[in-house]
Amino acid sequence: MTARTAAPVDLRHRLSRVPEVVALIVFAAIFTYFAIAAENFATPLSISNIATFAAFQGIVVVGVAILMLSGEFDLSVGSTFAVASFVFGWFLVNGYNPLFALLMALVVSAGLGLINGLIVAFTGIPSFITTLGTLLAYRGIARAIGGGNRITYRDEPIALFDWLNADIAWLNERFSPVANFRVSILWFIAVALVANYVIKRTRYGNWVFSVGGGQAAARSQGVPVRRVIIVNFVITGLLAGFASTIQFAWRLSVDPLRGDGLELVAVAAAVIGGVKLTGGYGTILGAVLGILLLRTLEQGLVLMGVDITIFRAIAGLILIVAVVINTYLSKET
Amino acid sequence: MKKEKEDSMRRLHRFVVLLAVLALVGAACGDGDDTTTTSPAPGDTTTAAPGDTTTAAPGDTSSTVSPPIAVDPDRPVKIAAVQHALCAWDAFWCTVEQGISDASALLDVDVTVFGPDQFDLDATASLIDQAVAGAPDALILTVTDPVLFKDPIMRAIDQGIPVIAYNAGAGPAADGIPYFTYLGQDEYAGGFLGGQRMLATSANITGGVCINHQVGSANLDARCQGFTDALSAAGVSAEVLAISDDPTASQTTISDYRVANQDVNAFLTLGPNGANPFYGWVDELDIGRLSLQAGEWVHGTFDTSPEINANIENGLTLFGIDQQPYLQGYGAVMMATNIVRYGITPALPVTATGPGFVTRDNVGATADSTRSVKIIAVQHALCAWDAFWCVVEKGIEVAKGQLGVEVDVLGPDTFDLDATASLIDQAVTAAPDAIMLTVTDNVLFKDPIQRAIDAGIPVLAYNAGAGPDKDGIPYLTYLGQDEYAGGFQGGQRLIAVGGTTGVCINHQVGSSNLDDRCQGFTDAFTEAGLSAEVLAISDDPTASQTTIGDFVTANPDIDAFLTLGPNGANPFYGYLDETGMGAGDVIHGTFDLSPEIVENIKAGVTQFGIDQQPFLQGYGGVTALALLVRQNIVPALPVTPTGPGFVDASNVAIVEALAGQYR
Repeated sequence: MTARTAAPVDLRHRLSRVPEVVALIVFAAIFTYFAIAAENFATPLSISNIATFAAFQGIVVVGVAILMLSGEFDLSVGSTFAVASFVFGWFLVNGYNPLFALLMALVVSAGLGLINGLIVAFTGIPSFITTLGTLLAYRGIARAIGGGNRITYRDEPIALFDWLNADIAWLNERFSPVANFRVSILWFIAVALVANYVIKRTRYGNWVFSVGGGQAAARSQGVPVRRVIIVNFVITGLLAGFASTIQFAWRLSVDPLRGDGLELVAVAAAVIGGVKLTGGYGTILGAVLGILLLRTLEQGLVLMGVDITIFRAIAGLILIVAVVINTYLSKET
Repeated sequence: MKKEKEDSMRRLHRFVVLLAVLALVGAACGDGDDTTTTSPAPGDTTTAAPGDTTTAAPGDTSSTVSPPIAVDPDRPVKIAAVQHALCAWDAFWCTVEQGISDASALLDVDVTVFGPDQFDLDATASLIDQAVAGAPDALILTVTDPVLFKDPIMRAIDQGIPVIAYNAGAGPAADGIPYFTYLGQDEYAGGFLGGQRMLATSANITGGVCINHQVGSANLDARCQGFTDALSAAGVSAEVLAISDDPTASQTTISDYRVANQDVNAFLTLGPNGANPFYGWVDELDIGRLSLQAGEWVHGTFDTSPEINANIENGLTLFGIDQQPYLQGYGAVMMATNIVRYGITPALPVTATGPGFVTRDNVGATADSTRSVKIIAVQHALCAWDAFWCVVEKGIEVAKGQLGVEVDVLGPDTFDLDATASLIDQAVTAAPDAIMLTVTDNVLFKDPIQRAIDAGIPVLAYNAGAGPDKDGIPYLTYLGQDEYAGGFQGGQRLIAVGGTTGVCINHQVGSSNLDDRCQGFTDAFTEAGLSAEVLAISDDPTASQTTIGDFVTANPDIDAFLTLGPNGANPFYGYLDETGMGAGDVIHGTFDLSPEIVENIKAGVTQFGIDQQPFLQGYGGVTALALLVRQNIVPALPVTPTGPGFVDASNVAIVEALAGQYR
């Protein structure tokens, strides 16, 4: 190692300890670009749209990120998302207590996560294959609950909806046009903070990184590998279900295709945010930045009148660039 | 200069006059605005006495109705407009002619306006014949006297020239002339929507009165009927008060009526002749103005005038109802052009241009035909992955190009209603001049649409929706097919070609859209004193074919069949094949188009296919919003039908040629 290369390697090492650095830079660049180039981008309404739409997807992303840190991933979150809304909606429409409906939605979605976890932990089938299968199966469950149709809540809105996702009226009405901040943003922040704490400050968090770093090594250190994997799948399913009920409390309607494609958005957000597909590397903050970045990109493109179909192309490009840079930064020298 | 030319030409030949003037003046005005106004000089009107109408080329009347249409959407279009009055001597018509002239320039069509130089119906009738002699691609006119005008209009129709009526008329059925549609105010809807507006404004309406200054006039009676129906539907009593054209006497009548009916606090007048005595009575009272301004009483009126406008501004009058003459001119040219260029036909026999509500929000707003307009369209599917939407987007593209407006089409890249709802919110952020969208799920979309409306952005729905009332979202109007009208007009067409006993073959009984079609069909037969019923089949073609066969065996009188789409038409064709029947053996019409249906229309087996005209959903949405932003033209009705558009032997060629693009 010569003196000439020592400085960049040193910088690289320092940056590699901040996995979200790429997401942060790209997010800042994109945000600044739109703020300059797109009319009406730097407005309360636009910012609130980004935050509100990022919120429910972001809750799913947090779950997916935790799972990815332990080296697994879940393609079935979109389908779980749909099932949870259908369960929530079905119990509400059929006159059950709203809290019971919420509980059932959460129990069912956690249960779907548990099934994923048990299969992966005990059969050794890769999570990619396992959850590809349950992606299809769970979507079928969602269709079955709704009889292939939508479930729509048409009665008077209930207090639970406000708890889950009320319009933050006192704030929104300060702006003209009225902004779109919702309670879901607070749930998102809360979920992200708790997850961040668990991952960074608890023994469980260490276990997660350890499992993601290599199961054999983790096992040799006494980490309960199977338990960590199963619990992480349950957390992922639960958060997908929770996000789904938050969305239903606002939209009041769910169709059989709800959440379709969400699994890829979630993985993309986590990867852009610096979470490694192979596990053991990344942060919750990075994943949060990843989803904010995607929502910012979409809102900005709409404001610039760019054909919306280009959104996926640009998102894909950012994804690849982020992975390339992250791989470079975290490379052992 | 223009006059001299006209005079000198007239001396040459009496009949060449109009055509020559047309050509010359048209050339003289060739500075971009293709509209020409032609008024014969005094004395000319005698040249075209009713007997002269035979000058239309002999033999033309016997020609069968064939498509007058070359399949070239961009070919030059020449339209003749004949109206009983002109801007030159009646200021009302300047607005109509402005609409014609703007449409002519924007749509790039050549329109010549003919009218007498004073009110003279016979001269107007002659002008129709003279205009038709010029072989225009389409004729638009006022049907001021259906009896007098019938003969010349029929000659145009017999020549295959599409005819549209505007401003004066009562629709093809009432006028007894089979033109496409009549553009004018829907008087009943004006009264009805006016009543609804009053109820929505004030929660404490306890009684309503329609102050009618011409009881017995069908138009004015229809307005009152609509008003009393709207209030009755809400459980509020309402009645009609007859006044006269004498303002002083009328003021006393109103005053006496109110003394005797203290609970009445909603007042509808039918024009300045009712509004002025009403204002006189209000001023005579101490509390009159206060009660109106506080909303304890509400007043609305038909028409506008300087007094009415002033009182709308100062909060005394809730609204004035305008028939929107600009839209009569613009719309007539637009509809004629769409028939000629794309084979797109008007959906209903009467196309409402009013009621256009003038309220405190838009009173006195000035028109600006050059204003830049930015529209965002949000739809649940895109041409990129669903071919149906290519036709809708083509309509948007064409309108965008013609009107010179900016339109961004947004949609998810896969069917995703939540993403579509988010796109609505993102569109609002862009602060466009207007938004058009599909109301695919009225519950899910309600919140974002309401936010757009609250932000002061005009919103209309297209393709998916049920109208602001049924959707429970106060957007302007919904552009889509009127299913009931489709069934009703389909029934009328089958009756016209000899159907006496009808059956509506429904492959999805219980689906409200399909049930509405059958209801319209059976109503058309019942109204004609004939009978019709509904036959339920399934989506299974073989079983359905057997069901149809059994039904016909059990009901041998059945001679008119309506199917509701390929799922009904295909088993019906199967049944025909099985029994060896074909063209001439049955009378059949259907909803929708498919390759099989198009083949059978060409073969003469099927009379028509009914199309929802998705082109018009995109095209009409952009046009309505551009007219709203630039000309303050408000959509007249909560539902603006784009279909039924009938595809029959006369236009199947152009429809087939333009399939996938315009149809």
